[in-house]
Parts: sequence; structure tokens; C-alpha cells
Amino acid sequence: MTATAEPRDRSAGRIEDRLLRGIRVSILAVTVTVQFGLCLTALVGNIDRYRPLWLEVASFVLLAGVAAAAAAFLVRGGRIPIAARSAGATLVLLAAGAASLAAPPGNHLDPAHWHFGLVGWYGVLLLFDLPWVFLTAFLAVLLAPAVAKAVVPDVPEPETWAAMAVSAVSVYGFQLALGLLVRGVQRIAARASAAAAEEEGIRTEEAVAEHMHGDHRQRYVALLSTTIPLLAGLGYGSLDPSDPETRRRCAQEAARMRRLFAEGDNVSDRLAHELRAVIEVAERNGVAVRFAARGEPRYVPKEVRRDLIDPVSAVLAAAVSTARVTVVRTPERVRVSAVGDAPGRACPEYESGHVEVEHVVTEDRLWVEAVWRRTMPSRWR
Amino acid sequence: MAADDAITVAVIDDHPVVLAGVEHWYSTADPPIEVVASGATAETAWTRPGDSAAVVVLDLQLSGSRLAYDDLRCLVDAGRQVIVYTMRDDERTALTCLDIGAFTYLTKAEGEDHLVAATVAAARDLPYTPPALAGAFGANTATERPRLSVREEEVLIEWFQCESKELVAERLGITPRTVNTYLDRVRIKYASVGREARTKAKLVARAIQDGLIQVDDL
Repeated sequence: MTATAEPRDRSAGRIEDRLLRGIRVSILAVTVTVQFGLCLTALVGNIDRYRPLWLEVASFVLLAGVAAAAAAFLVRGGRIPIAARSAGATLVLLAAGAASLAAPPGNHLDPAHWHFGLVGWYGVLLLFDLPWVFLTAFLAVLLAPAVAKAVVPDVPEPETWAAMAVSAVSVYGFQLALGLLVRGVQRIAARASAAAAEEEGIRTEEAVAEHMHGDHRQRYVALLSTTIPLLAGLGYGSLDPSDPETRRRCAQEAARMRRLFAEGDNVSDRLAHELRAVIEVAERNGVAVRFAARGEPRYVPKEVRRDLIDPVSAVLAAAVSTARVTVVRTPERVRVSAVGDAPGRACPEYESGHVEVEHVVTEDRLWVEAVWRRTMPSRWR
Repeated sequence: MAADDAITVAVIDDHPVVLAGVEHWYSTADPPIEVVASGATAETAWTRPGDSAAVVVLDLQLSGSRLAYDDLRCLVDAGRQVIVYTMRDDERTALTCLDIGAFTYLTKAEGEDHLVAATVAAARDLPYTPPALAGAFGANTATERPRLSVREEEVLIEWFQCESKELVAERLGITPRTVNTYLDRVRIKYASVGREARTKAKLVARAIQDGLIQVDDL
């Protein structure tokens, strides 16, 4: 069950991952286009006005570096780790400060202040899926050097203030609004993923229930040929409960049913578990059973387990007072054996479709061994 | 004191009932076996009169949760013949005891049928392989295990399964004596691998003297 549910969960989570990655790639594309399409022209056009020029160029290169690193993360895994994001945001702030410092005096309406419209995009790229205060604080911090630059050395006229405000609000307001919008979309995607996962869980449960129902029917069929005639015989009086043979058949059917119930249990060593279930029934009938296992537990398919255990139930049902049950597991074979004191008994009947069964009958003992050779499909190993 | 020809035994087990049961089995044994000392700790085998016992029967789970491998190792290093007699029925414990140099490994469920015979064999340096130990040999997949023939493996597993040499003999169409020979040869092969111990060397030497196995087979 877990083997099938796990990849499904991953596919549900992937919707959100893919959406986030798509958003990041788009924002990165916008950022890079703005930087190289618009800002680079502005930088080159005003190249004589920066003091010092290298600081302005360095901040441009630093921003491009952050974009390149983000691109690398997106190509590799689709996610940018938090540590890398905070480092990136810090570098962007530094670059904005540096670019502002080296830019000519005046306000951001001057095209030489190319960085003013650009750095906010980096904020959206790095911070959009964190709580909105991060992006808001980031954009607010970016405004500070721009305002400082605008009031030194001369405080501008009210008309200039108004123009600056309109520009700042339209640029940063747009970026903030976009950041919030994207975050909203992401939340919806997360809810959709959760709903999909839940639906898949329900579907898995349904499949499991269906499988179990099929299993129960199969078990009923397994009992149909042997248990039902016995019960019918007892019911109609054609079988005598005081007859030792009837009792032996009852014991064998009880063991078979107990084993079928044990098949549903979730244990690591199923073969030993189901053998113990059969042994338990024999012990209740007064047979002292000693059980021993050797070798590492290995996977044995259900139908093979049935065939391995059936001869054991037969011997235990025939045993009078003592029996020994063993299981030996080697890389090539799984061997299950039962020896019981059963004087004067012929070899009992059992199913043996998938296994080889050998028996030794002496005057006072009955020994049956069932062997499964693990030569079949490699997935069973 | 022990009769001159009696085999002397020191029994170490922390359950008085087990000690009483073991002493009872020995008291009716033939040849005579005398329990010269019994107690709950390994000291029994190191102090008089237990220090002179020809065979030591050691329970692996003395008071405390750790298995008494250290006690076993010390006794083996002193050249004592030790029969490990334990509740534990798993191959790893059995193989570890054999590797340390125990003479044989018996589960308590097997005690009634095998303890007396194992003690006699121990006193005479003759191999003895009870079913639980045979199962451990047969299912052993470790790389350093000795190389066994197909027949030897078959005898080991069938002896483990049915605990009757007659049944094994009948199934394989051989005599019970031959079943014994196969079991003994495997035991000698195991004595010649792993950790060196004087008790193992004595077992191998005796087997070669008796013609049970050739030096080339090892």
C-alpha cells in the first residue's frame, strides 16, 4: 500500500512545485529583461556621470550575479534555499546602496538612476513566497537611499516630490501587488495539492478495501472444497463427531482457517507467523509442538506459503501428543517440515501446487517436508 | 568422591530446577557421570572441586542480560570441554559458541535426549552434533563457513527437522551409522575453521586418528 501511495503523494506535491518554479522563471525573465534591456542602455548612456564609475558597474555586475545564481538554482532543483535567498536579498540591497552612492546627485526620475526600477524585481523574485512583510520591508528599505539621494544636496520642489511619488508608487506598488498576487495563487495551488492528496488517499483506501474483499472471497473459496462439506456432514448427521477421523478433519480445517486469518496480519516474517497460527490450533488440541527456525526470513508468495503450510497442518492434525515443526531458509530453498507421533496413520492429503512434498511414514511417526525452490522470478528474491 | 571411572562434570546454571534436573539425568547415566560441582556463576568451574571436572555444562544466560560469551572464552582458553546448554534456539548464538570453541551447543528443549550423550562424547573428544546445532550449520550462509558436500548439508537439515537418525537414514536410504558419520565430519570441519582453540584441535586430532576424516578434507 505504502509503495503505491508514496509516488502519488509526490505527484500531488509536484503540482505546487511546478507552479512555483514557473512563477520564479517568469519573474527571473522579467528581471533580466529589465536589467539588460532597459537598465544597461541607461547605464551606458550616462557613463560619464557616475563617480566613481567602477562602483556603479560593480553594482550592475553584482545584480547580474544574483540573477545568474537564481537561474542556477532553478535549473538544478527548482527551489532556492532560504539561506541563499537571504544572502541574495542582502547583496541586492548592497548593490542598490552602491549604485545610488555612485549615481549623479538628484532623484530617481533621472535615467542615470537605472537601479531604482530594477532592484524591486529582485525582491519579488527572491521573497514572493514568504510572508508579505518580508517583501514590503525589502521594498521600503530600497526607498530609503533613493529618498536620501533626492534630498541631498537640495530639497526638491513640491512638483518634483509629486512626480517622484507617482513614479515610486507605480513601480514599487506594482511589484508589491504582483508579489502578493503570486503568493495568493501559490496558496490556492497548495490547497489544490492537499485536496488531490486527500482524494488519492481515499482512492487508495478504496483499492485496498476492494483487494481485501477479493482476498476474503478467495479464502472462502479455499475453504469451500474442504470445510463446507465437513460442516454440512456434521450438520446433517452424516459425520459422527465421536469418530477419530472426523475429529482429525475438524482439527485440520480449524488449522486451515486459523492460517487464513493469519494471512491478513501485518508481520515481517509471514511464513513463521502463519506456521505459529497453525501450531496454536494443534496446541489447543493437546499436541505439544516444538517450533524452530533457521536462516534469515525471506519473502515467500502467499500461494506458496499456503502450500508449504498445508502439509504441516495435516501432520499436526494427525499427531497424537507431540510434534516438531521446523522452517529452514537458505538462499535457494525454503523448507518446512513437520514430524508428529501418529501411529498407524497413512499419509494425509494436502495441497501442493507450488512446492515439492516428501514424506516418510513409519510405524509410530509421520514426517512430511515441503520444499519451495526459489528459482522463479527474480522479484521474489 | 567420584568413582575412578566416572566422568566428572561441573554444571553452571542460575536456575536451581535446571541444576536438579541435570543432576537427576546424570545420576542414572551409563557410563556413570558425577556432578562434582554446581552453581549459578562461572566461578563454580574455576574453584575446587569444579576446577577438576572433565566437562563443564554452561548456561549462556546467567543472571544479567548479557550472554556469557566471556566466561565461555576463558574456560575454552583454559582447555576445558564446555557444553553450552541454553534456552536460546538461534543459529547466530550457536555458531558464535562453536567459533569460540565450545564442545557443543544444546538447547534446553533437547536436554533430556542429548545432554548425557553429549557429556560422554565431550569426555572422550568425540564430536557431537545435536539437532539445533545441525540446523545452524545447515542454514549457515557466512562466507567463512567450511565447505560441505550436498549430502552433508542434506543430513544436517533433515536431522534438524526430524531429530531422529532413523528417520533421516530411512529417507536417504543410508544407515543411522552413516548419518552419524556425516554429522561428525561436518562438526570436525567446523572445528578446523575460525578462532583457534585447544579444544577444537583435540577434536580434529581425535577424528583424524579414528579415520573419520582425512587431513586433505579440511
